Parts: sequence; structure tokens; C-alpha cells
Amino acid sequence: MKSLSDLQKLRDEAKKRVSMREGDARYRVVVGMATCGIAAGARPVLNALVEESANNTYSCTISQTGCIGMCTLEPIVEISGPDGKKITYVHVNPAKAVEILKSHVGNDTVLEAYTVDSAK
Amino acid sequence: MMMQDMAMHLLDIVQNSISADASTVSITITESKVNDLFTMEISDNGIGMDAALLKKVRSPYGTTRTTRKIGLGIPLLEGMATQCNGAFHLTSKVGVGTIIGVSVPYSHWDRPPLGNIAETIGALLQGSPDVSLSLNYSFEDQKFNFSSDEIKKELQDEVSLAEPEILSWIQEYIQQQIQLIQVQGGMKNEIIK
Repeated sequence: MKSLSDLQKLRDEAKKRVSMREGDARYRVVVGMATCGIAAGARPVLNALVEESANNTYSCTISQTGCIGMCTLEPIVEISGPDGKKITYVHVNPAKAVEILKSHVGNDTVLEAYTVDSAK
Repeated sequence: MMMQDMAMHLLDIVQNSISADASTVSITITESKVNDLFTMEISDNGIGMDAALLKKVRSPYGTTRTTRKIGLGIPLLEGMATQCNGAFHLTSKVGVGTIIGVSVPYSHWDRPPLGNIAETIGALLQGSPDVSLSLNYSFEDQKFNFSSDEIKKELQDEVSLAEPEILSWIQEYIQQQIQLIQVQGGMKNEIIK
């Protein structure tokens, strides 16, 4: 069983990784988390992204936003890169989210097949 | 459109509290087979709503959103309660906060399952690590209390609880505790029978 006292040890480990990860986060990953996103399954997508980045070191921050305006394409994940360009991934599920993170943030390679342009 | 389970409704409704600038949100969930009752209540200290807005948000065409004139979170929750022969309540006071909740028969055919409360709390803390969030969960007479302030105290402000490692830990911790309460509460229920 986990107990609150585990946190003291975890705190020190996390501190080291935070400075590695966020020293100069190159990417910003944003998940749409309004009513439409939630109903379509955005929460497990966010969770998959958080778990994947807890186990690996990606140079990115993960955050949430409201309705992006394309409710039928939810869950939506947007990634903004160092060049300021924003890529929108649609109909994302937890497995796709991990693939996207590995390829786009880990390997600097946009996963064209999952982008909004491919969905249209 | 429908929410899969109670945890999804919860996530959606607490997002409203956060949009209303709440610094404190407390969630109470009770499950009882013995009393045939499921309740969920969210209470916040956000900006609150006046009578006109209060009436409006219960309609699908009432929303504070500026991108579009439709908001579905509250109507979905109320619709679920109605469908289950349950009750919905919403009270709010400008400058004080809002209380919103449902109570539905536990055994009702249409009652959505509890869902993953731990993941919902995780998602909320990830998005709003500064909000003081508490969860009071009970199954029969067994209780579990979670408070994000307690976690922050353990972390001593050295790392944010929104860091992936910490969030994963919090989710597993809540999940374990809820399961424990469900087993313990359920066993008591069997003994009473």
C-alpha cells in the first residue's frame, strides 16, 4: 500500500527530473478538456501523456485547454514546437497519444496520419 | 452525447468551478447499497452565479463560454439524475460559491458506474495544481479523505504536484484507497446480511 510518507522520497527524485525536463522545454503539448473533449475520452489521453512522460524524459510541458471548436474531432491534442508551428492531432486515443509524444516530441517527427489535415 | 460515468461528470463539473476562479473545491461521493443511494456533491468558493445565470445554466443554451453559445455540462448531469429517478440540486451565491450535486438510487438500471475517480482527480490537479482540492469518498460506513493540501505539505513546495511522477503516484494512491474502502465497506454489508 502507498502512504503519504512515500512522497518525501519521490519529491527528491522528481526534483532532479524536473530540471532536466523543463530546463528549456522545446514543445508545448495541450489537450482539449471541455465537455466535448471529456465525453469523447480526453481524460485517458491526458493520463497516457502524463504516464509516458513520467517514465521518460521528454522536453515538453503538458497542459489543458477548453473547447478548441472542433468537437466532432475530439479528443484533440495540439503540439507547438520551437519554430512556433502548431500541429493539431485529432481523434486521439491513449495509444495514439503515446505514439505522438514519442515521434513528435521525442523524435522531432510530425505523425502526419493523425493530424487534422489527414482527417479532413 | 453522454458522459460514460460519474467520474467524467465530475471532471466536467469541477472544470466549471475552476473557470469560476474557485481556490477551494470539495467533492463528496457516497455509495451505499444498504440505503440504495449514490450521491455526488461539488462545493466551491468560486465567483458564484446570480438567479438569472443560475436559471440559464440548466438549459443547454446557457453557457459562460465565449466561443459558442451552447454549454452542456450541467444539463448532462441533471439529465442523468432525472433519467435515474434521482434528484439534482444547484445553489449558488454571488461572491460565496456554488454547490451542485445529484443523488440517485444505487440500484437504478441507468445509473452510470462510478468510473475512475483517481484519474479525474489527477486530470484536475494536472490542469490546476494551485486549487485546494479535497475528496471525501465513502462506501457504506467506510471513509477515505484526500486533500491536495496534504500532498503539498509533504512536497514542501519543492516540486509541483502536477509533475508527472507525482501525479502518477497520487492517482495510484487514490485508486488503492478507494478500492480498499469498497472492499471493507462491501464486507461489512455482507456480514449485516
